[in-house]
Amino acid sequence: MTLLAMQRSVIGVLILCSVWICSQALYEDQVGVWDWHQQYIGKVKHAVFQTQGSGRKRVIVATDENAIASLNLRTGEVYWRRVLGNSESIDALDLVSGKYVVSLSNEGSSVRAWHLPDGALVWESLLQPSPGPAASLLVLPIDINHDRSNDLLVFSGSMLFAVSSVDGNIIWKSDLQATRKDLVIKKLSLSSEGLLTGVGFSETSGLVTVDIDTRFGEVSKVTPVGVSKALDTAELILINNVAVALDSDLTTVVTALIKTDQDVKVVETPLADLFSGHVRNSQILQTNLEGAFALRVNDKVLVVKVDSSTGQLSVQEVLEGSVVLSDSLHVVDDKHGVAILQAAEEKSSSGKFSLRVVYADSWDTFAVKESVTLDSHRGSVKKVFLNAYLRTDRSYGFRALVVYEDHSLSLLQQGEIVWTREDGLASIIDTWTSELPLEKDRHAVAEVEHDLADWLKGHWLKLKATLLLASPEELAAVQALRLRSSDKNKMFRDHNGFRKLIIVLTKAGKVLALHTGDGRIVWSLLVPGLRSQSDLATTPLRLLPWQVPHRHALDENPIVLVVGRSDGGHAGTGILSWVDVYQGTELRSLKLNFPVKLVVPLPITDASEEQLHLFIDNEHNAHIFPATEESLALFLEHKANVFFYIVDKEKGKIVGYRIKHMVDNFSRRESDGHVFHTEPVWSIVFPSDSEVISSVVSKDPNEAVHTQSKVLSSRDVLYKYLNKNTIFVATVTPKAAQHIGDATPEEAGLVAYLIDTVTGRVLHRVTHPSVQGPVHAVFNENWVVYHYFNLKTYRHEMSVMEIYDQNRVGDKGVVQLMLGKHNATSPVSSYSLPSVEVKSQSYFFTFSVKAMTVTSTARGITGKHILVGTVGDQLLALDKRFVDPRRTLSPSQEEREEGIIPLTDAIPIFPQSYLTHVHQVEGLRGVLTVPARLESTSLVFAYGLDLFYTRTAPSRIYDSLTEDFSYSLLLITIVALVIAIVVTWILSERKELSEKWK
Amino acid sequence: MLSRSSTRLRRNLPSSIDGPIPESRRWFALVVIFEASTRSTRPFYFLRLDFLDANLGNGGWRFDIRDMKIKWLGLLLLVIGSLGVCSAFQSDELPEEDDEWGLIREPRAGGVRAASTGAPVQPSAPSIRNTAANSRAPPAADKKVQFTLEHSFGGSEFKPAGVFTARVRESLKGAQTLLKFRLSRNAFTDAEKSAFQTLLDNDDFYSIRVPADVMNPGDEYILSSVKARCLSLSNFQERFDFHVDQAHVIGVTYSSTVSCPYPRPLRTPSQWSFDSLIVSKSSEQVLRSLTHIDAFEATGDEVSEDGTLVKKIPEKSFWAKYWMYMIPLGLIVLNAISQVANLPEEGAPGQGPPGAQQRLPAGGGGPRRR
Repeated sequence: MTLLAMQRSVIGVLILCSVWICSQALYEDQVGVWDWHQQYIGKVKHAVFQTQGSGRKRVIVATDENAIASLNLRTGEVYWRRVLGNSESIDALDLVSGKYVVSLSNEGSSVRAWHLPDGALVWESLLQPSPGPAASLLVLPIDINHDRSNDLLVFSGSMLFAVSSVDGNIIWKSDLQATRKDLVIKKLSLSSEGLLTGVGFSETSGLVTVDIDTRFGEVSKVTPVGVSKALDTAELILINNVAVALDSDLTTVVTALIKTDQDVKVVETPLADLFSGHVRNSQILQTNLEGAFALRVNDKVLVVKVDSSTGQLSVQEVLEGSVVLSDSLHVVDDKHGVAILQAAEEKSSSGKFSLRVVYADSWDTFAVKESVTLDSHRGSVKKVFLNAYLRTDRSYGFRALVVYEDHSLSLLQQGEIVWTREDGLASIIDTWTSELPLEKDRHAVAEVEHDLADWLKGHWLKLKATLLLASPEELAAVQALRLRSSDKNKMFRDHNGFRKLIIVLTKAGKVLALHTGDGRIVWSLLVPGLRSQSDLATTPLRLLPWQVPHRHALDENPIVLVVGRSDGGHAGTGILSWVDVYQGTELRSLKLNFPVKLVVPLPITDASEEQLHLFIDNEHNAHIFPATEESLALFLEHKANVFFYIVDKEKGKIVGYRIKHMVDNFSRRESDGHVFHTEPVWSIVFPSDSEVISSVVSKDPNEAVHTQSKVLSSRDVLYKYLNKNTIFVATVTPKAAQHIGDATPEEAGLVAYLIDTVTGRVLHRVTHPSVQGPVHAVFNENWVVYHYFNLKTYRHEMSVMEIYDQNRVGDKGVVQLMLGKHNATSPVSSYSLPSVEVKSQSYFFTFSVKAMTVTSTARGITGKHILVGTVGDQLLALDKRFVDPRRTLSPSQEEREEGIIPLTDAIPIFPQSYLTHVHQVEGLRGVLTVPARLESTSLVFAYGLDLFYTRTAPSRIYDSLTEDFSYSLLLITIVALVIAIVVTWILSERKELSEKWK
Repeated sequence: MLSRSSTRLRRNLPSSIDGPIPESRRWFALVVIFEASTRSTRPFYFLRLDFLDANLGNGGWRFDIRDMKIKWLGLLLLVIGSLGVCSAFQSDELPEEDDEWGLIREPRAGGVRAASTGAPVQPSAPSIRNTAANSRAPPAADKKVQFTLEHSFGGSEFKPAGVFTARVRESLKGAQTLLKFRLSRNAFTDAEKSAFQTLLDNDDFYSIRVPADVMNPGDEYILSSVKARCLSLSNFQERFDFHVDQAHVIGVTYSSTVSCPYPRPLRTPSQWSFDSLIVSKSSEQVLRSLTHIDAFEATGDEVSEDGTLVKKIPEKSFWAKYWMYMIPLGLIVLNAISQVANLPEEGAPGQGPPGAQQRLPAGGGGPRRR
């Protein structure tokens, strides 16, 4: 019985799959035809080279995006990559015994060892550090626990751990604050006799040295060092048993000679002795140099050599301008190399840099001195990592890994750039898509003729493949032809709207344009207006379409607006920069006089098709841009109907505002725009003890809705409530806002709201008990789908709300629809009483969700797929029909015709409906969907650490033939048929004639 | 609309009120007067009734004093009794009158009519007095709370415009529910009338606000606005939609009761007295129409291991099962019959149809030719 039931269920599932999937599945040979996937790692902050031995030459890097990656030193390709959790910032990275990579992350609380060749996790050890200064990792040259492998020392906060490098076991741990609470140990050093010495600060006596026993981790001696001046506790450097720190006035360098069994000798050297001129600010740089340290004084970098026997300081070199020093690298015997990368000419845009490698012991003998031309569009160099190799002539050569201002990564060797990785793309913060230019002049005839032979050959091969006549080599040729189809990479618009430019803004303030055909970078621009000045760091915030030409599409280029914020100096005032989308150049930039709290693009464009934008500052004044008279006149026309709302998550408040009159006393500067007063018109306050805002989702203002009504199988009509000013707000109980497990089912709960943002009317409010966040939601047309975790059933759930307009129930029939009071042309007022009906349903869903969005098509006729970024960093396309509130257990025949699926309590997931197929979009953060011009198709761009682009047809491609459709076969068939008809006709004529002669 | 909101309310009544209290438990009643320090200078007192489970023994009381900054003043009355009290509560806790519906309307279809008398109602500081003091009311159930309605004309300063009264129902667990909003509204003064007329001319907003925490009013206000012209179109028939979560007001939507088309026509009001309709909505709990067990019982379908529901395939009819065999069989039979029927025709070619006659020489012409 059960066997039979199982068989049946299997057959049922198979049938179901075959029915559903054919629309979404991808054939093996279609992979890569219209999708692409790119891997990035993010801004590199630690790097270790592995060049010894016979293995492949590689460099291991740790990045700001919490990724550890092994890169091919010859090509820059990723051998392997591991991404740690979102909060697990990597503190240190090192190699142990040539086969493990050891990483220290999460503020010194987790140590992991990775297998060098393949990145497999070998061991993992969790430590309990105390909060304190940045954690550090030290690979000891000694073996503590006699397992024939050198051990590790992890120092984080005040805790010191000795960790076995074989299995990650903690050998001993020691609290350096156990004896004295005010002790802050900054640096540790291991002397050649095997004695561990820590140097730090204490409140009472300034410098303190601590001797630690390496066998058992006991603090054997604490020696306070008397210093006459108060010290600056920000930075301390330890060079060959000489501690170097600045005093609290930042005017004197204090050096302390720490020697075992002797008194500590303190030498104070005023900065004025080292640096001629007035000292404005000074800072010790975090660079480990052999026998020296680097000091930044008034934009200059001083390399100061420390005499380890006397503590005397002597300036070795004064470097001016933008200069980057690498850590010193042990080359051979007692030689230590340091790379100095310096711009060749001050303020030059040529990108000429000089790379010098000097030996730190003598400092004036150059190992290498070469001039390198770096890409000037990548900005200045932020970091250099040095590596040495043995040349063919047995001398030492050097290569340097360079991290640029735009987070990209290059390898320099022999004065050339060996490879470059565009790793800024790992941190995209905003995206937009632009149409490509129109094709101005058609292809020249010669070009067509040139391609004609190829074209014919391609078609001939395709034809053979279709007729199953082709050999395996020919099949491979066809596949290759498909993959590099030049059609998809052209730089002008296509008929179907598949070719577009994806404009992205990265965390480094760089704007890049990617071609949808193959994902190549068309242009990139480190926005000059957003570049951090020496004292003024800036943060890019948003990317907005500014001007999208339709009327003058042939001779005008689209423009995007980049909004940023300056972090220093002027209390977060805004920065605007306008970038030409086709040229990739900054047109102009503007420093605003006010901080930007909110940007509202208005649906109004002026005569030059520039879109009006509303910038809201901290005092809730509204600034209109562009600041022209024309835009002012346009805005005044629509002023009474402009509303905006501000969500204050901290206070649990949503406030709606309207625009009042213009501010008079503002000087009419361009950096202010036209300034208007605003006034709150509604507010909603969530009780802080029971509700915290978890997510606020609004509709896409540009979405296309095909029909306002939904015709049911009973020939009844439901009218969709399509008010664009509706938002979805989900609040959870404060305990349930945290991690799963913090709240019991009784304490947790979610409240879902639908709110009209013009009047502040709560259209619908529904509570889900025993449910907790995080809440992900998508709002489209008249429905909201949201995802959360149910603590009672311990599963994730997805709920749907569909909103229908009850006011229009009376509008039946075509005439009413066209001419009744709710026809499409009559204006709708939010101040009329809406009456909505909300249908809802909940389903179990297998995965937790990272991002959620919905496909969008040109006219909204095609069905919708909800795109879910799953916990496995894949992109799942979920048919909206599965989350339909009208699903019933046994739908009638009519309902089935309407497309209603029988109700199940879980949403089925078919492996074929993953849009990302074999790929993973590591660290998935967002998904962008754009309509193609072809109604059936939607373009999908997913970004995180990786980028992935594909196109999807939720209701199959019903409006065009597939790309591999063989036109030649069709033509040949027709021609053959015509010939056959003619031949047979002639033959039959002849035969008939001969018959008649008989 | 009316019935919906009422059922919603009833559904949200705490079930512990309806159910009988188990006899085995001994209950103490505890009545305490607290001084609640508010931001206003005048302190007010309220009486609070709570039960302690004597069986728990440790005497920890149950009411929630986290958010209320209560300064303990005195213990008035303690330990009224045990089992006898218990039975008294049972009868008293039942929901009583019909006006607990969230929506209250006068027979004239007016809603809660504001007494638009000339004398303005003095807005008092919110006060809560325990109706339990009355001998007829249930000792623990309802309190009354008053809070001020304030209004503003096109962004002017907020001035008191009336007083809301609501009932606070307290469940055994200490959760409070706001019920039965009533409004006594002040009539417009002459200055306000002219201000309103200005709003009408400019098509500006008339705004109202109430405190967000009605029990303990602070700086937070719930604000709502309506175009003055909409209000005058409806002849001052106003409507308040209160969205209430326990004792908190989350949002108030203030609107006119009639639809307000755009562009808004200017109509000078003929009368200046308000007709208020108050709707109170507390939250609706989501209903899940299907769980594992429901589904299983409803249809007899089976739930596979991964949680998806597998439809039970009903037994097919004979024809549905074997059609693929029946059709070829039928064709063979038909073919055989036609062949049998054709055989005699072959024997007598002259009697065949004319087409067959013509075709035969061409098709089977071989043997005829020499």
